[in-house]
Amino acid sequence: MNDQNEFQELWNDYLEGEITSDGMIELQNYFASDEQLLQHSVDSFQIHRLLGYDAKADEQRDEFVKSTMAQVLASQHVTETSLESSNSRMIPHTGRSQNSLTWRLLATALVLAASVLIALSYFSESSANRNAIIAKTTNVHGTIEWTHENGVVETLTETNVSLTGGTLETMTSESTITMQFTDETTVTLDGLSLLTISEQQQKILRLKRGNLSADVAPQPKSKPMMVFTEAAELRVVGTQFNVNARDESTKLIVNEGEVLLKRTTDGESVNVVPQHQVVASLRDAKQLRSVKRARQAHVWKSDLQSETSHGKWIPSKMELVKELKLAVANGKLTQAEATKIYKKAASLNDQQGSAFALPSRFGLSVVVSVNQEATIPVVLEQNSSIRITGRAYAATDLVVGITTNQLDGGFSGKYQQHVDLTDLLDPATHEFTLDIPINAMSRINSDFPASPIGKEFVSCWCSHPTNKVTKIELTDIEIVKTEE
Amino acid sequence: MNDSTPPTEAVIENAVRRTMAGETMAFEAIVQQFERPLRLWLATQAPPAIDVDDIAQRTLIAAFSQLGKYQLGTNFAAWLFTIARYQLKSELTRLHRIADYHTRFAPELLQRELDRRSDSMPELQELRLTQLQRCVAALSEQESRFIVWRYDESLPLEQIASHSGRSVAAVKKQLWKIRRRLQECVERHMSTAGEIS
Repeated sequence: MNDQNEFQELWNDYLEGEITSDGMIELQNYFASDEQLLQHSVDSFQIHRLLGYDAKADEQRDEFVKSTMAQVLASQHVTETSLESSNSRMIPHTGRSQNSLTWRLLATALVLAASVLIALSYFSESSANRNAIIAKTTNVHGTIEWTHENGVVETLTETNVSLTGGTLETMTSESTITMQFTDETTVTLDGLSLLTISEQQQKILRLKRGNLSADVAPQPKSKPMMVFTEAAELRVVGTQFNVNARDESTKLIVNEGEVLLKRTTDGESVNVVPQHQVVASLRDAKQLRSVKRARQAHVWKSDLQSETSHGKWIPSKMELVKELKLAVANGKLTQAEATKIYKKAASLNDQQGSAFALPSRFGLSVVVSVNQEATIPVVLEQNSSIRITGRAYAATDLVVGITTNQLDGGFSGKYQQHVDLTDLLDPATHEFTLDIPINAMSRINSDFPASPIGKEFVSCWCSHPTNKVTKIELTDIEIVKTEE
Repeated sequence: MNDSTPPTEAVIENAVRRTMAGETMAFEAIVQQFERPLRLWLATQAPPAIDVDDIAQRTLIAAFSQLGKYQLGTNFAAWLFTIARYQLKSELTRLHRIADYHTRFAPELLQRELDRRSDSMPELQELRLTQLQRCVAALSEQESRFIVWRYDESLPLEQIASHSGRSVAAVKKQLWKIRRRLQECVERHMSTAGEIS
């Protein structure tokens, strides 16, 4: 490729927001060696931006004016002081200081009275808004705690329950709740998730963790639905999308319409269009990129270190160190012998390890979700099975479940199978291997599709109803094709 | 497409005076008048990482809250654009604090040249836009279609490729050519306009 073509390609990638860090350095080198090229490029950049501006300017104008005025009004109380001082400068001195003083006192009294009236009407209105019903539950399964704005906590078990502003927490892996807002926007929360909802002038959702799927009715452009997570904020005016929020990263998949995602760390934003996804991370400072979702895969192998979304991943070497230290402490090994064993093991792949289930008042559970960065949906087929290997201590039974999404977007359903481990456990090592055909799993709610076949696999869980002396450790999970 | 009648100073001064007197809604006239030149100017000065509308809004809100500092009878537009330059520089400073800013958002030399040009007259961009609209109108039907797909409809390159039956690389090349042609056309018109004036 000659220099001109290479530059053209780099420059196009830059304008399209697709340039790599290396590409950016190359671009800088081009500019450093050719001043004319730099000048042409800045002209080209400005033409590109003018074309972009011209295409959207008129349609965005009203929204911009409305939204700016709303912010101006909101900032008004801050400004009042400075305006007041400038007003006083503007009033010409007439010499009738007594009259002026009386006028000022009267004006101050009027302003105070008006402020009290405005404040009263605001508080009565906002109090009414606080108590206003904004949504109702349309599907509920599992344990869901609902904390009202007034602090009252209740467990939701039924559909058609009215919701005001407050916080919803789905407490177990198999829990799910779907709610419908008054404008028919529906939001589904599933797995171990925590969401605060409010709607006064616009819908505001704060997803602290977990999975949210939303089908959003058209919202006023000046009052879009906002979804906040730790790593990103989403601006939605009407669309279908899924969000997965973890402590340090948020994945957004858009299925219909468009969603504007802004990364928390640096304010960089990207408009995500249908069949595209983006991951915003608190750690990763790479350029934010919307990536097209690829076709389909039908098999999947877990990377427990990065894909354990609930549970504790412990590398094998750490377990070994604990065992060796204990052996040295108990006099079973000398320090030198332990070091020798450790050094030998140190050649093992660092990725090896296990995901341990975490206890809660609802029992033990571990959840493994398909990597946030993966762009290829894992689609379940008639001959798909889930294969799980691990160890279980003092547990004779397990529940294995999977969560699925619709292929064209949105939460689909949860399916599970109870497994009796009695004959499957190796008594010496406590190891087990489960091979569960997907089509043998049962839906956990009659509102879900009868079968998960043809749906996208997004996560799986293993749970046990108690956490008394029980330890569940997973060493590998796979979606495999069973031989016909 | 645009109502480019320049805001008369009297209208602006009147709106400023009424806002200063406590009539907050009078500020809407200022927002209406300056929304376009501000966003247009920022669009051509800000690197891709910056949300132009956000900076334009911050500028107007800062102007509203600092209105007491504006001296009636001087040049409101110049005062407002000074705030806009300051807001843009603040945002750039914030972004520069990110260690790898130049490898993520804008090569250093490009950014420096944009900074240098930010001192140019904001009206110049309005003039360039007018010339650009003329040049776009003169494109062939096929070329116009690419502009509509890319800018009006914001289609991803893959989709443009499938609409046009070309490869993504060919689409990139085509967009490069069209932008280049538009750039030359605008420069030609600008120099003619310069000679006439």
